[in-house]
Amino acid sequence: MNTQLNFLKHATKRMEDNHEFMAYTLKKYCEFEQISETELLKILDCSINSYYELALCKAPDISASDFMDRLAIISEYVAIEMSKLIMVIKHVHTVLKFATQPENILLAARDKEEGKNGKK
Amino acid sequence: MKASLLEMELHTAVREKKDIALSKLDKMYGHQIVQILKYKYQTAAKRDETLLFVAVNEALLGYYNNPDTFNPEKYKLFSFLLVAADRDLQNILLKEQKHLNRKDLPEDVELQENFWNTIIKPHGSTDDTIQLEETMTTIQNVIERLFPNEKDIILAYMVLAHERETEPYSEVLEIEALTMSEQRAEVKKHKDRIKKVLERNDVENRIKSFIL
Repeated sequence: MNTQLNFLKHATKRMEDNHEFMAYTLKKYCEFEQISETELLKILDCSINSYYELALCKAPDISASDFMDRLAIISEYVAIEMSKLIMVIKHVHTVLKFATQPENILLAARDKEEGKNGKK
Repeated sequence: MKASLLEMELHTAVREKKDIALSKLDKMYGHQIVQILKYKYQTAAKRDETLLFVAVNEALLGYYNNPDTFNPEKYKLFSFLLVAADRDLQNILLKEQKHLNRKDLPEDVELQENFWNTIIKPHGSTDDTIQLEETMTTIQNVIERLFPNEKDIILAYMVLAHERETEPYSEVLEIEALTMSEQRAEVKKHKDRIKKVLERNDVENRIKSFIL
């Protein structure tokens, strides 16, 4: 591994606990899906360089009105398909939302049940 | 020396906390600064390269969090970050040295005599650190005045550190894809060019005069 890659890797590790950065999102995705960094690289279909560059980008707020615009800039910068980035960010956002607010699970279960009943 | 247009753009992005600003900053300057520090602090780099990464990260994040500490009208961003990383690394090494001294280990346990280590050998007092920082800035200014290109600056530090291997030069020049003999020829060409400038300007002796 060359100096640039080593440095970016180190910088990424440092940002993994900062929820404002994609390093945190990527780490959480690996944790939730129980996959390795290498496997996530395959899912994102990108080089290791792009992966670390992505990790050092700020994670745009999914509920913000400019989410798609900001994501488009990141996607172009790291050369990773936008749909793949959306999938990762949304997944992590959803799991974290349920993890921090357990009542959401109950609401989701109730909605599902009501949906079933409605169909009947 | 004033910041370049590219640096001004990056500085604005950092001030506005754009999503890709830190990533760009790390990509553009991180490894370049690491490479320079690697040659200025060879013993520390050989012992533990992560010390350099920590210092450079500290410097880049320090700037990212407080971008107004940088004055683009006065300095180049690259120079500003290099000085900051250099200072952070010196602090890390000083802390380490104090820790070693507390353990009653020989004072110079990790410091070998070479061109750069004679410069950076820390003594521990604040005055020494300030003096050291001033010396490093002066040296940096001399080199940057002669080589406006960042890659050349790294190459100059490498030549001054008497690096003989082809591989580190190839990495800086980004010519690793070439065959070994092509790399050697290319590296030689660049080393000769850098050496000529250094010799013509008597840089090694000028640097020694700052230290002694």
